[in-house]
Amino acid sequence: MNDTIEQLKSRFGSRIVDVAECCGQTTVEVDKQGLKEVLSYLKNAPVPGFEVLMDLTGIDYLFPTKQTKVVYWLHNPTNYSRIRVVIFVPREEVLPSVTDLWEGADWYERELFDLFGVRIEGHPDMKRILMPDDWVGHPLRKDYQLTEESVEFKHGVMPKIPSQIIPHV
Amino acid sequence: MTGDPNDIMELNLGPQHPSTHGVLRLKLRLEGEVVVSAEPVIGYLHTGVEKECETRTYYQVFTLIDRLDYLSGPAEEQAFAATVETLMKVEVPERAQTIRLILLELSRIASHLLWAGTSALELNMSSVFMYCMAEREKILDLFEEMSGARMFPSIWRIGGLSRDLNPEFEANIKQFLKAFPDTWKDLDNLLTNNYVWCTRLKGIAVIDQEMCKQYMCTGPLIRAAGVSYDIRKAYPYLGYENYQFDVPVQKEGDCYARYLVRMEEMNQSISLIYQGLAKLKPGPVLTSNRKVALPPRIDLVRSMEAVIHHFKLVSEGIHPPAGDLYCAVESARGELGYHLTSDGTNRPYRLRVRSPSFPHIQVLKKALPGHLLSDVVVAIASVDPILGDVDR
Repeated sequence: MNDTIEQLKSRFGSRIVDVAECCGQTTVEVDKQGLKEVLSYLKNAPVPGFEVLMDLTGIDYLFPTKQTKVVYWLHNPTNYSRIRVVIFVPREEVLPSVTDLWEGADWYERELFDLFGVRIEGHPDMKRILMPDDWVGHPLRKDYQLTEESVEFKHGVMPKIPSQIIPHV
Repeated sequence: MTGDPNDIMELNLGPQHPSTHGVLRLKLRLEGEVVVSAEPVIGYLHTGVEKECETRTYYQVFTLIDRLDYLSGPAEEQAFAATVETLMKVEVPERAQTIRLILLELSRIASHLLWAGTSALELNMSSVFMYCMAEREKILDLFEEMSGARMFPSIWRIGGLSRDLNPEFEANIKQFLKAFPDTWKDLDNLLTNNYVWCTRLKGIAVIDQEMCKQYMCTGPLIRAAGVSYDIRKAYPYLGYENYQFDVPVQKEGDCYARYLVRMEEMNQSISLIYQGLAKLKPGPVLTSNRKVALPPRIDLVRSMEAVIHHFKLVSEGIHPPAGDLYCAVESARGELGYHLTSDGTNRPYRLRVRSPSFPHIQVLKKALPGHLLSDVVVAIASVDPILGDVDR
């Protein structure tokens, strides 16, 4: 893993913003210009060999600016090593799609758009996937309130909404 | 196949359908009986569990994630517990690890039995369904005697289990294990060389190695395609490296190969449970680290520290260090993983479930065109999706 990091740093230099490690799992932060290059190098070059994209997800932040951290979790099927490539995407910025590298990233990018509002260019069929098609807003953003609606039952019975049941600690 | 666009019929295999294994909607475009394109539409079971988990403490999260993959609840709990335990560097006692392994394998058998029953039911073999359900009832009875709940034992805690096995558990499980090979033999005789089963399943929905790599398929799908990838061997957890078991692999990648892989997995699970029972030694089932695990109730009467720990843990919860971690287990469907981003507070900042069925339904888009309409049902059944996990 350390050789992979050294090679990444020597090939891409300034595109690698940060390298972090937690409990044996390495995270490499890249910037927008270097994203596709780093991902295709990690996928195609035989020595890193991270051929499988196991997961594509996002984490939303409000500080220091409103941005989403998009996480690419790569897997090497020969020596079972894994690496995380992250990129911070501020609101209203556009991310290139990786469906040309991995076809299966299709639905994951739709989910990113649906739940986080990350705009992806180059995607074959961008539309909402988990929320209804006419939903407004992006639920997993940190400034989206957890909405609670009570469904009215027969005879006007309104069951409790979650915040009435779970005390806010 | 004329290729004339006027001949294409759009058929909606709607979300409410007995054969779609949940609320899965498939927009099929057919030319005659041949599927030209299939677009799966999901989201009918989306309940926003990931957002809810951000507002719950770590103890309360267990109640939510249990029901995501509702057929292998123990696998979800184990994945989440393993993630938090690795982040906090909490030691799980050995007895708890062995019991967790036994319960995981039992839930794997239960899930595969349900899969076999419903797949056969879709081909109108309802007696196979009844045999599988009767056998699964015995496993659910074991869970119920142990913890009170049939499908979701919910005894996982950070640092071990909340309760030990009941005294009759070993006798009952040995009785089940003795009777199971006969049921397996019955299923094998009914299905494996059955002319109708073989004709309907062989050659359908081939998912080969390249498709598995592009679409990140794991579990029985990739093992039926020839790649021996099992999380229990690749990233061992709960002491799997000390157990002897094989990983069944087939080559063709069609529905029949996936069927054979799952049947053999049930046998391997039986052998693992026997080994687990042999390794079971008396001891504690919950860690004694009082920053993480509740003290036993009897201590609350005797000790002031226990009362304070109990109060802090129940009201505030645990505080994992800040960091990003991913931990995976091999559920009955494939690689089930949890990304946990913790910021040091008592709530997860972001909990992401990497569900195995999400890419498996996506691969149907590629694997279904060219097949007949009656093969669509067989293909969905062999992929074994659980919509709770897909939609969360």
